[in-house]
Amino acid sequence: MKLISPLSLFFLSFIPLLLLIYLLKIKRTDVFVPSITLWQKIARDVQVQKPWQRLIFSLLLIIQIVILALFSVVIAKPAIIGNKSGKNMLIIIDTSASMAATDVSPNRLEHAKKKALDIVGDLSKNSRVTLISCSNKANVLSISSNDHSTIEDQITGLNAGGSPTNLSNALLIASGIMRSTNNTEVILISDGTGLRQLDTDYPVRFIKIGRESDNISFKSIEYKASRTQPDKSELFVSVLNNGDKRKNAIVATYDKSGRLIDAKETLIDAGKVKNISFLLSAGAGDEVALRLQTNDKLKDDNEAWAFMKGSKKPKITIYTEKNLFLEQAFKLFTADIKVIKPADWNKVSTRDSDLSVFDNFTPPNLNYSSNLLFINPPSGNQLFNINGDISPVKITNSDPASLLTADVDLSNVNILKAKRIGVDNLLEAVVESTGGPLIAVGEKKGKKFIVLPFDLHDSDFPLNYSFPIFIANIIDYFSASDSEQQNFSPGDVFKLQPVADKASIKDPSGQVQEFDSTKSAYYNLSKNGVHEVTYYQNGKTAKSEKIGVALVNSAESNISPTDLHIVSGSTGKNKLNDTIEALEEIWKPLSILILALLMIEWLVYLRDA
Amino acid sequence: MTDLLDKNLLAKLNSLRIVLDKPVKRYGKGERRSTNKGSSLEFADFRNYTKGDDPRLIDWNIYGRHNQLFLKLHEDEEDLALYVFIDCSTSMGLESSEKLDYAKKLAAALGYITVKNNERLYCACFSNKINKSFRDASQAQKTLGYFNFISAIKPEGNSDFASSVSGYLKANRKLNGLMVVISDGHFQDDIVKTLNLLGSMNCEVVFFHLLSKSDMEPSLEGSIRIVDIETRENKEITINRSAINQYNEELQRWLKATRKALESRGMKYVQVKTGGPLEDLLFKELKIKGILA
Repeated sequence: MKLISPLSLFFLSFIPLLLLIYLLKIKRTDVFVPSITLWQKIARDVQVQKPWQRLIFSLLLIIQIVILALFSVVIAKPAIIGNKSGKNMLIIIDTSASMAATDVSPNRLEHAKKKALDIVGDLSKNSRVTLISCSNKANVLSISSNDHSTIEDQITGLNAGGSPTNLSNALLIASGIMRSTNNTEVILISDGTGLRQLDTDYPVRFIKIGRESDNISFKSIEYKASRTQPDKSELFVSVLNNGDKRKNAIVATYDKSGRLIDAKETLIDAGKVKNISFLLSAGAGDEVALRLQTNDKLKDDNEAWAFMKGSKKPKITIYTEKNLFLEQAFKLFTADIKVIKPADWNKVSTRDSDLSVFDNFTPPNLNYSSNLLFINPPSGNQLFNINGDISPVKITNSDPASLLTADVDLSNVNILKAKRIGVDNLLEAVVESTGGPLIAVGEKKGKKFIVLPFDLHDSDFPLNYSFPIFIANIIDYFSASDSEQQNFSPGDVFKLQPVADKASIKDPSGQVQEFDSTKSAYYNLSKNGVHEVTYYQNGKTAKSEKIGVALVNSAESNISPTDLHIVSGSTGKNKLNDTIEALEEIWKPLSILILALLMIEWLVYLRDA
Repeated sequence: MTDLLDKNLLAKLNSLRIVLDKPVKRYGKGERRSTNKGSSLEFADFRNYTKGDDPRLIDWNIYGRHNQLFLKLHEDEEDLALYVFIDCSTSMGLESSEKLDYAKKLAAALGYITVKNNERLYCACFSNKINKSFRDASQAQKTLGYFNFISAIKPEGNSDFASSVSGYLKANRKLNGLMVVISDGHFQDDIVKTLNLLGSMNCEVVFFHLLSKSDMEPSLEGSIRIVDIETRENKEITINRSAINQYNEELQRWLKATRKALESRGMKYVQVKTGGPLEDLLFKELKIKGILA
């Protein structure tokens, strides 16, 4: 047993004081009686005429000494070293979409919550707990609190967010907390979906949730007007079997009013993608809902939406001395291509162009009448700085979420040299190399631009099979500036285009949110389903678009529980020590004992009186 | 005079007289029939003549008829003497002299009855000695003197009946009549010795045992020091229920022992609660006990 505030034992010094009270004679009043004879047989209290009296055994005295001693011990906060963990805990619970998988009963999140509750339940009462729930963003529910019941309530109240996993925020917060706390263990309760490696500067205990990988999901969806049959539209759907068994699935398509249009059954091998195409009549409308009918473990990714892409083919102007790679690649997607020599740049109007491609050239003045693609731009342009060259070039990172790199395999791409462009608040790197971005995107005056700071001739990229896909992605990227057909993930933030005065967004439940300005306006996509975005200019509807919110995220749909490779160090301050605070205070039973003794003392007093 | 007894009570007392059970020795002629055979006109009995008898008392008529000598005995008439001993020790003065006041009234009433019946009255108040005494107030006009004597009694000294009264008794061996002792019974000496002394006198003895309310139900509480008012002996005790119970047991045992000691010697014991009215005692209890008629 240990005393948390042993100084309070000072109160034990009151015991001699109590004895003193018993030793001191009571000041008595004299009562005269006719004769003392009749009182002789009554037990006398005192027999000596001194200020002190002999200490006479008294049950009351014994009880009072025990009460006083117990009281001193109670306020000294006695505690026993219990078998409960005395560590502080930082618990991160994954609430991403994959945690709704039902491979463990009732689902992974409930399982994770149970684990978390067990951990909190095993903690000693003075252990402090930080609780963070995390899907695509972190949510700190409590910081270093020892109110375990509230934390247990918070754990019980967690719901799967439906969003993909993004642990970085949670780990950043954890890192901050770890710096200021001691004796803290970080526990990550997750299925590991969407995560590969965890780099932390503190130890993390990973509790893996989930057993199976049985899940079929949409990988990509494309819905566009048929090029061959004008009154038809084509819907291309890639379906991925994430599981380890061959599996059957039905892809069903529904129109806006929920009527079944068509359904196809397919058998997908384990780990493989199956492409399914539908030829839909014009009556299907510009909005199609897709449902995967299969008995898999994650239902949230079995629904998605497809929106008709504009049938208009982009007009492209390429400013280049000569670049066959570019011309051929773009010709695959559109016939409306103009190739202009840089010297003639101001002789041809580009006003009606959708995309201007500048190869090894930048015009002195940019008019932002179209979207822009810069390939190996010379220095001295208005948009970005160029600070020398990068050589050799090694690709280090690629943003997996970017539309530009979707299905583009850069692992076999070699680049001889590239220009070093500075990344600022205008530019955002999509693909990075050791010396700077290799693909960067930006936006200015409502137009998007892409920068490839290397000459295609200095690279084998145009010879790679990924190149046409990349070009297709570029066209999609720019046409997505009209943001048609986008399946956003739940929890994503939708940025309104700064093209109009006002805008409104109607969510699937019919709730409308108005935006007074579309500049720097963001909308949190929390509900699955189709959202209607309407832009208003001068009080009139300028433009409207639809966005679908559904879990179309291959990483998140791959619900196979992953063993995280945790690269962690141990901060010198945060040494885990299981015994320091693993103390359980035992003042409650002692207080009850004191109360009982007080009652006994009262009864003894009454009996004697 | 009226401080002690009010007029109504005095008027009622005129109808009372003191009754004696025991024959008392002759002490002068009085109005009271004596158990002695005497010279009155009232015939009492016959007995055989023995040598030395006064030949004047021989009934010659019987001798004429039976030729045997018989003496004709007559009732003797004599005075009653009442001896009143009042305990005036300090214990009687406790609680605003409740017991002593009662004792005074009782003594006054008995004395008044005695004087009214032309009988002799002696009174003494005692503690550890005879503090004061009052002699022979046989004349009715001396009642006032008697009352004044009683009124002047004050509580003082320790109650030591044997040593105080024995001197008086020894000096007055010829005492006979009714001896009344009014006391709270708390004597420092041995009561048996005192009682034996009383029993040796040719007197009828009535012991009025006065008990106040606080004697019967002491209203004490807490830790106190009880002090004997006379001896100053003290004891520190805590009054609780069991202490009170013990006291009550002890009180009853003492009362019983006192009564037994008196009654076994042919003396009368009257327990008097000083809180009650004096009239009830005089007109009810003492009549029932045959002390007054």
